[in-house]
Amino acid sequence: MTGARATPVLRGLGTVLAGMLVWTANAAAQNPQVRCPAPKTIYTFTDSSSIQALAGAPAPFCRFANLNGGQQVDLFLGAFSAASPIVQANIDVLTSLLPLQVGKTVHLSRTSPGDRAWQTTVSVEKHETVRVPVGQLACFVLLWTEPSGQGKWERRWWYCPSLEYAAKYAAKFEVLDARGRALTSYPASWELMGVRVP
Amino acid sequence: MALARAIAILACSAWLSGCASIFEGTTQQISVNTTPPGARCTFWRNGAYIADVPVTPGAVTIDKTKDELVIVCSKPGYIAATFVNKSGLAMATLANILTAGLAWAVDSSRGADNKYQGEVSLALAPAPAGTPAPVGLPAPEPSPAPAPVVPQARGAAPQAPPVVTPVAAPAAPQVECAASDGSRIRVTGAACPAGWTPAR
Repeated sequence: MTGARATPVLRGLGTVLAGMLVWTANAAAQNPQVRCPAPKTIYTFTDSSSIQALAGAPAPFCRFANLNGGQQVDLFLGAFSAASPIVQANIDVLTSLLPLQVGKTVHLSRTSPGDRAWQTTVSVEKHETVRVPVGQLACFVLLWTEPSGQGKWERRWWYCPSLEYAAKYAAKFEVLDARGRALTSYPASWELMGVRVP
Repeated sequence: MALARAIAILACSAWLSGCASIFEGTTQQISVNTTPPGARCTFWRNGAYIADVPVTPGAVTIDKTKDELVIVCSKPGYIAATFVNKSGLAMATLANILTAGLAWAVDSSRGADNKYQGEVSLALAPAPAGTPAPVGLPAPEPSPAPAPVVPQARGAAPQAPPVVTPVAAPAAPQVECAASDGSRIRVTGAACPAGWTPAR
């Protein structure tokens, strides 16, 4: 290939690469990759629980200690526990939610040793500003939907990138009858009540 | 039937403290611990007061029904904490067991999975400065009923008493912080978290 022929090709490649760089930079600016809270940061919640950020979790997880019970847990996006078999089995799928963007949806599945299959859908439902006791936060709503027996679980975490944790959580369990009507619901929820910086 | 009994016995060997209720009949003793101790806990069912533990740690024996049990613990200088002991949650718990650690492992990430249990442990957060001390006796008929709050359910296996780091000491400084995405929070500490700036 001569230099005269190569120049337009290289120029075109350069344009494509520059475009990719700009796109990547924009995406990162909008949704920087998940970082972890500074170790010793303490979050308290309206359900009287508290957690403390720790160092040492393998990416993409962040490590926390439950100050009420002492349990240590590694969480992705302040929501998904490394202790969950289906999370562990699908961590690459879950991380494909990054950078967070409304509408992104992933499907998690796992087959247990007894050949029982588990299915869960996780989606970035919306972006909204929520008011919680600690203040006002811009958050992505992460929706975990999971069929369970005759019903389903719906869990929502309001994950706030600026906070590097969830500011709010709401769960709903519904038992459905044969016609799909909700018979029972056991909601559970909490909101962020305090942040203590080390 | 023999198989079911064998399974129950095996399960009991794994979760000893939770097994008493299986064979106890129509009453159950529920013990309550709080951090810090010395709180008063009242027991409510269907909006009606049914029992109390005057000073924690303590225990009370109640009739078992299908209705949820609301336990409210209060102590002067602390925010009252509520525990909803749902006998009906057995359904949800069963469903969680069926999902073999999927839902459970997610919910238990913060130790927040609640189930019908004979041992309840609640942490009382210090009340912010200026908050009036809670009244010692709640109204006989709370209206509305205490809001359900996910408890800090202690696992069925005996554990050491929870260690709680004080999270909101009244004298600690507070800072109003702002983030570039428009978020604003009030934090306890001398400075804002990384990525946040003091707000005016």
